[in-house]
Amino acid sequence: MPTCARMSRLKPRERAMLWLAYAEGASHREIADVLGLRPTSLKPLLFRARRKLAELLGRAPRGGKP
Amino acid sequence: MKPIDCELESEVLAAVLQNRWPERVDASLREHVAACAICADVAAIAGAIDEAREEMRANAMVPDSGRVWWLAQMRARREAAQAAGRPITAAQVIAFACAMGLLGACFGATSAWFQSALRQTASSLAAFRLQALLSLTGAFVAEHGALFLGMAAILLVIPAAVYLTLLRE
Repeated sequence: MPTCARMSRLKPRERAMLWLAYAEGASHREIADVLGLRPTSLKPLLFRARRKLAELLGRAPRGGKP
Repeated sequence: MKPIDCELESEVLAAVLQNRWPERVDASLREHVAACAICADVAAIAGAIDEAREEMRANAMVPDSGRVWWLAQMRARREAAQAAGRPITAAQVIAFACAMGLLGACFGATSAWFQSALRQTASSLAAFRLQALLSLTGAFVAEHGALFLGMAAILLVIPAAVYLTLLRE
C-alpha cells in the first residue's frame, strides 16, 4: 500500500502535525501555532500520531530509550 | 513514565530531510537509532513522509493553465460585481427606510384614530401614579408567586444554559 494511502487513514490533525514536523521540519511552537494547540500538549499528540503511522507502516512498538 | 521524545530526534530528522540518512551520518548516531525506539520511529516516519511527498508529486493532476486563468478571470469579475453592487444595496435599504418613515409620518399626521390614541396615551401618562403600579405589582406577585418564580427561573436558566453550551462548543 502506498504511503499516501496509509497516511489517509490518520485523522486530518494528525496528518497535518506529522507533515509539518517531518516534511516541513517545523518546530513544535510553529506547529502548535498553525494548528491552534498549546505547545505543551503538542508533544504527546505528536508522539501518538507518530506511533499510529509507524504501526500503519508495519513497525511494531518497541521499548523506550536505551 | 514512558519517554515520548529524545534529545537526538532533531538530529535524526535533519539527517533524513537532508538525504544524509543512513549512509552519511556518524556511526554513533546510527547506533543510537538502532537502540532508541523514538529515533527509529522518527527516521522511519520522516522517510515515509518523504516518499509520500514524491508519490503526491508524481500523482498530482495539474489543471490546464488556460482553464486556471479563465477561472481566475471569472472569479475576479464576480468579486468586482459584488463589490460594485454593495453601495447600491445600501442605498436601496436607506431609500426603503426613508420611504417607510415618510409613510408613517403621513399616516400619523392624517389619521384621526392615531391622533386620538396619541392624546389618550399622553393623558394616561400624565395621570400615571407610581404608587398604584407598585401596589398592583405587589398584589400580583403575592397572588401568583409560584408562577412568577418559575418565570424568573426560566429567564435565568435558559440564557445560562445557552451560554454554557456555546462556551463548550
